[in-house]
Amino acid sequence: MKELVSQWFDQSAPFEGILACGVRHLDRSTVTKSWSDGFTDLAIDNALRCVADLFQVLPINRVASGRVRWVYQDGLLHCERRSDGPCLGIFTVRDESAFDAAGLERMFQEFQALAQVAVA
Amino acid sequence: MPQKRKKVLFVDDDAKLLELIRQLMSFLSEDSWEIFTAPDVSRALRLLQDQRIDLLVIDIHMPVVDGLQFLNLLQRKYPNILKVVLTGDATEDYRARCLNNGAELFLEKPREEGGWRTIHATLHELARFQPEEGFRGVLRRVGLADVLQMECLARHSVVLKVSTGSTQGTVCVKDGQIIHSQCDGRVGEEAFNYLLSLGGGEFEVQPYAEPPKRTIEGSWEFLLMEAARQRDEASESTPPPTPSAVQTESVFCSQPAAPLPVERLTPPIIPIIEAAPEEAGIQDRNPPSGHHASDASRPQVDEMLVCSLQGEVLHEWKCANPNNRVGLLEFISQKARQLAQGLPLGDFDRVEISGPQTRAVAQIQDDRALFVRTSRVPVEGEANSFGA
Repeated sequence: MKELVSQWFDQSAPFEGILACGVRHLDRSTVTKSWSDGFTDLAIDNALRCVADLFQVLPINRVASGRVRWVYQDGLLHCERRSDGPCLGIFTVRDESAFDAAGLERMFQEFQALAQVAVA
Repeated sequence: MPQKRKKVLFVDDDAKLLELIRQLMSFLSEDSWEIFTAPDVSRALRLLQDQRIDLLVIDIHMPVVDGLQFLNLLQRKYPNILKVVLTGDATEDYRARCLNNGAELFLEKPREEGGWRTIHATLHELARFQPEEGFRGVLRRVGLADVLQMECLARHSVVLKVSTGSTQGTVCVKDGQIIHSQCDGRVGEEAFNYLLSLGGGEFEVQPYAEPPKRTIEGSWEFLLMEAARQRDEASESTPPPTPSAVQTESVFCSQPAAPLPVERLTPPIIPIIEAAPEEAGIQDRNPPSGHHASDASRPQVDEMLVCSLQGEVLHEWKCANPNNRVGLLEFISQKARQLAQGLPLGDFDRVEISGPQTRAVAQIQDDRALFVRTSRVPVEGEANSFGA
């Protein structure tokens, strides 16, 4: 599964407004991509760790999660965790009219669909 | 200049392991750590009272008070001490619960010597970024005058940085004498008296730095008395907007600001509870997609909590456990700060959590934190048609 996700991630195309993205696997390894200065592999890896921490903590607090969006002054981080563990985090520009929402959705749908592919 | 030794406290009920840790960590840290050990929570708490511990490493399974309960207590009493869990029982469930209770890291006890090197390297990295100097700890409702009095009596040389949402100022104390103050264009005694008249805010005691010039003469006792007199006079003419106290070291990671009194919060919130989240000030113009609710439904607020940045619940509505919600807000605040490290994201505003049926928003503002959970309910007409 990890290889499948990594392969998909490598091939995934950027969309308008994306700054960087990354996948954190169940074994806590990460793959990252960046299209913007300042988004280093190390910093994205650190961000994904925090993302995974929140996904772990939410059920304890009885908060159902599907999509989590972190809103900062200069950017957004959109995240989803698949039921089998890996998390996808996508950084976009803050201005919602300046990024391709359909591209973002497509990326999450493909990420979620990979779980079905693996089962099949 | 030699680097200050880090004080690291290990808490574990296994005496042999503690001794092993002491020896290994002393060796690996090349004596740059001062290592303390405690076999139980009560002795750990005593050490925390006596020593300024930089890093605390805790086992989970301990008798009487276990690591999770201890973390919870520490998060309330010592929120700014770095806390790490080191356990032989590294399950995902424990990991989540420890992180939820304020642990920075959750590490598995190594089974071979090489693993201890990794543990040391990890702890070393974590401890490295701690400030060397400054004020730490939690003091609630402490007046600036109290702090200044303590610093002057102890003949310290420090810079007291004071801030509220809109105001920032400093008071310089040199060898126990107040020698300079500035605040938003004011200098000298005018600035000093203004700062001491503030109704609330935060302060930080920083290492002394020489001010550009001496703007205050006279004894600190007289200055404090004069400031108190002016404050009393002002309070007789107009009621103070906030409690006359400052609080230190917010448990949230946000810009410091004066806490709002509860009575100011309550009235605007009541009407919006029945309203849509958009009207409640929650920016919901473009919710995260992927979980779009039907158009034939409307949002309903299921629970709401507002707390101060010190973790005090200011308002709650239908929260089953307000303390847990405060804990979650603290956790999100901590993670939001860590997440943005090294990234050009700017200030954190909020996190939006969308589930299949519900949506939650946790927002950390300058002066308070907010948690709102909503769900969507069918609009009346549609509900009838479903029932038909």
